[in-house]
Amino acid sequence: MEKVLEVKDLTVSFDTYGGKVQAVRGVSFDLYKGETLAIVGESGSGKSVTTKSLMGLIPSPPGRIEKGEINFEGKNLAKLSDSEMTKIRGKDISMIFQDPMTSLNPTMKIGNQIMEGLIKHQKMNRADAKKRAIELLELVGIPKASERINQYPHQFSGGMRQRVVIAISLACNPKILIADEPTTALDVTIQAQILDLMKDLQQKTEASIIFITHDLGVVANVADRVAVMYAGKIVEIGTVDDVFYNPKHPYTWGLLGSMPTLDSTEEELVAIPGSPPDLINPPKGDAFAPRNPYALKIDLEQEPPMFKVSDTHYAATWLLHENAPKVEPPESVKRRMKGFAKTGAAPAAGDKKGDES
Amino acid sequence: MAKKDKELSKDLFQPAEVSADKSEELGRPEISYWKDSWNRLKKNKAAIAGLITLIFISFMAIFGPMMNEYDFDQADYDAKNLPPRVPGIENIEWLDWLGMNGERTVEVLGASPEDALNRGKEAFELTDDQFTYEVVREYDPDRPDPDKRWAAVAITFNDYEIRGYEDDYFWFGTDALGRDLWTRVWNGTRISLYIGILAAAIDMLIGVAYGGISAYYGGRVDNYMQRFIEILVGIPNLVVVILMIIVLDPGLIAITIALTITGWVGMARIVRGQVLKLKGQEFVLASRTLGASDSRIIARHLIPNVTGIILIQTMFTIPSAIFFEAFLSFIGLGLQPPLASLGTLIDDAFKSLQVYPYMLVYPAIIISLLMIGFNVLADGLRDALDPKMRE
Amino acid sequence: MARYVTQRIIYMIITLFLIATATFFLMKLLPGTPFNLEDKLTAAQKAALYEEYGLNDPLPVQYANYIFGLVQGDMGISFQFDNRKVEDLIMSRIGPSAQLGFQSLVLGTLLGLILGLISALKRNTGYDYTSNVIAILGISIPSFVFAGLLQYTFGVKLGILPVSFWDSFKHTILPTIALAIFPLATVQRFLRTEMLEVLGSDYIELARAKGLKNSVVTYKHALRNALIPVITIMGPMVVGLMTGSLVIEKIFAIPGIGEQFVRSIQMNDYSMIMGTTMFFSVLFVVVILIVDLLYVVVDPRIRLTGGKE
Repeated sequence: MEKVLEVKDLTVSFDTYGGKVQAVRGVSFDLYKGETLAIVGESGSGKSVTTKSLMGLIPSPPGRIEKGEINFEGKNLAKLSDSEMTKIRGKDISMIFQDPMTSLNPTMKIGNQIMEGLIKHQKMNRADAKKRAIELLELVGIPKASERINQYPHQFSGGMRQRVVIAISLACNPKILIADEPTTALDVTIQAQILDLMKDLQQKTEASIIFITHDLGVVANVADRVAVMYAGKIVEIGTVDDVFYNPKHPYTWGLLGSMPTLDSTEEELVAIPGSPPDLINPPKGDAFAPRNPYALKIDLEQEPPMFKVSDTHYAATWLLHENAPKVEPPESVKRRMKGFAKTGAAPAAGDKKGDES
Repeated sequence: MAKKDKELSKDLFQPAEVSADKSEELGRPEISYWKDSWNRLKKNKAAIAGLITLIFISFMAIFGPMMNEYDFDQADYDAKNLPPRVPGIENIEWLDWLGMNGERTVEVLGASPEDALNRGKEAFELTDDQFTYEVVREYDPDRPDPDKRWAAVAITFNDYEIRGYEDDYFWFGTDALGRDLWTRVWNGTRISLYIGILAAAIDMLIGVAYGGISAYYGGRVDNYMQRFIEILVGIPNLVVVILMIIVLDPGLIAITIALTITGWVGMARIVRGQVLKLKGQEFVLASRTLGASDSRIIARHLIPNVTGIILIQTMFTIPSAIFFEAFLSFIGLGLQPPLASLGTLIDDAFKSLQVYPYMLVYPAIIISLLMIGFNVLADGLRDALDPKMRE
Repeated sequence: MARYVTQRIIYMIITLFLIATATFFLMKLLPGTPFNLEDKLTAAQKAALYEEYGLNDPLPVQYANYIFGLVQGDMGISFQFDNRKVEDLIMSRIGPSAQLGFQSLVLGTLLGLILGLISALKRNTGYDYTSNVIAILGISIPSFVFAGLLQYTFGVKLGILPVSFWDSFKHTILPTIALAIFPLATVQRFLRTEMLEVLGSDYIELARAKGLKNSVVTYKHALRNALIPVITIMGPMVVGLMTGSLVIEKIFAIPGIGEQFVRSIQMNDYSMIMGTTMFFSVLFVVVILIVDLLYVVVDPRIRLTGGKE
């Protein structure tokens, strides 16, 4: 498969009044053409910061990319100036934001907000841009597009606004689309519609999507591959099947164990104890060790490297070392893994028809 | 991938003891809201500088008048308009620019420099050894400005020696009635602070009660109370204050009443907004569902959550009350003599600004420092207490 | 919209009516009479004066006459300024006050906007700190202190600008600066806060994500949204200018309404005080109304809801 984007050892930090926060600590991954890569993790794990670095949207100061490469079409985006990045943002890489209620300019007509990018990147005149904007609104499923184009954001509902945001992001046929929790702020029924819309649009445009979420149900529904992030690092990465049927990292087990499913009603949810580490002073060794019931002594001493599980599947845990004791995932997680296998990797079926619950 | 797998000893691969307690402990230490706010305030250098300035001025307002032997209303007509003179500083030459050595420099005009000098000597009754002088300009009838055509001489002499006050030290000088300005300035500061704090306290009491009741009971009560406020807001407070003072005869109480008669509206609106917001929040609803009484909800949930905003608003009210009092004094509606506030002192000083600028300097500096101190501290408090600003 | 405007105008009339009533009765409460040379008058002269000014009528009649006169723009006769009509006196003084107010408002607002913008865009730099120090000094240092400082420095010491009076444009410079410092500081602080909030908002990030140039994001998206709420501080600013004008006109001996007002206070010229008070109130209420209507026009979020919270 053709590689669209390559991220190598990306390290991002923020200066705060409490000290330097190491938000992203050496993240590496590849993105292939036409695929959807989901990045999951709890809040503060660095998933949003990672994607904002790809867009060159890290506020600086206080943030900065300390080291690492972001290779896209022969350019290292991490080294580009802001004005060079403006030629890529919105054209080759675009972004959908989390909260549609706040991500549109309240005093600007919807049409103008879509047309801006077209006029800048495609050098269209206003008439052509307007025509294209109406097409885009129709594409994302907004009825009476030619009338609504002259309306302001407050005249749209939340779901409709998110469709507008998607239309803005698709305006210039981007090669990469970053979706930062695009459905979190929406009602469950609307969530399903937006997810369907995105899958549909991806087939039409062949864009690669990076999908950020903390909702594993959504992951199984939309993603081809999954990267699990914890404390600024990718701890496990693989295809959806790899990660759901054969998870290797204890943190991934924890995430799967804390995920509610429809078919296993008697099941108790297993919470991960403790809270994420302080990224101003990250702990020595494996950052997850203090919360990890399977922690080894070496976890407190050294950071684990990425161990290869299969050609597509890697995980950063000492449990994969040849000297490590054989540890099985907890029973509840195993039962879930079996459950996924039975229902065909669709724990998100419930999500899609969320109105049932 | 794991190629750099050197000789890792097998012991390291034994399960580690990680207790649940420890995992909780590793997170950031918990700090209370007030402690956290105080930590943020401490980091704000301007706010701390403001706080120290205010503490210093308050200290001086209390103890300053006792630091010398003069009373604030003790007039000595012979000692009128004496410049500042401070023991110690008066003999240090490089501090002369401070003008605290009892010396005065006067520009005298005449037909020639000699003529000007003689006029000066006569006017101030100076003998030859009592002054130094400098020629400012010669006579020149061609200058465009008629006032500038005369010759001018700057005569410098020690006012204390000439008037026989060698043993006296008026640190800030004396006013037109020969009263000690040091004592008057700190007395005035005391009165300005008193009015500012009293007005802010009354604003706070009325405003919090009004806003709190209006928002907590809501419905029709709120509706009527808000209509009343809307009408009050339409009246410029300048007009209200001036009318009240005219009717009430200027005095401490009258000024305070005039300042508070519409002053509480701002506080009432802020408290109402905050309480309305809190009332709808889940933790208050939860408490109500669990059967908590009104008084419990008010005491446990509402008051702690509006304290910050009340404090900030009060810190902004104090300087504006101090300013308004000074403003009233300045337009002739202030305290009556012999009482003095910073405002009346400044008003008096303006009458002779061109001749005795030092009279304006000290009250002007102190009122400015007071205002800056309160505003900077209030800004700092707002940044420290406002949860929106937290990272 | 029409309903909103009507409602606002009704409130405005109620407020003005209340102010007029309060002013009238407060003035009647005052002890003594408004004639400063009373002692020198004979009983007959006094009686004639009382008759002439209608002071012998019963209170309700006086009140009705006053309110009825006000509606027609008749504010009564000044007791001290040559027995001239109050409204004529105010009108004769309006020129210098209006010029001074306008110049200060324009100068203060423009500089305030520039400083506020610089502060927000160059946050936590030397520019920001300088601009903030100017603003905090501007809201803290009382106008009379600042005016005294200007007068002494530029008028007395340097002698480059006239210390007082109102003859040429040169005479307006110092008072304009003295009066402009308050709107300048207010606008700077307000715009800085608004701008920082807007710059941190999601829609600005989206605008950046579209690949728009920084200047476009800043001026087309951020500044526009930050400027709208600045309209709301016009009300307090006009009050600030009125308050300031009393002081500044007194200090610089400017023949404006403020200077006249201060003198009428010192001379107990009640009808003049009442008249000027009403004039200030009307001015204030009208400005507030214009500001509120302007806000509705400028902010599309309010337009359709017909009223704002």
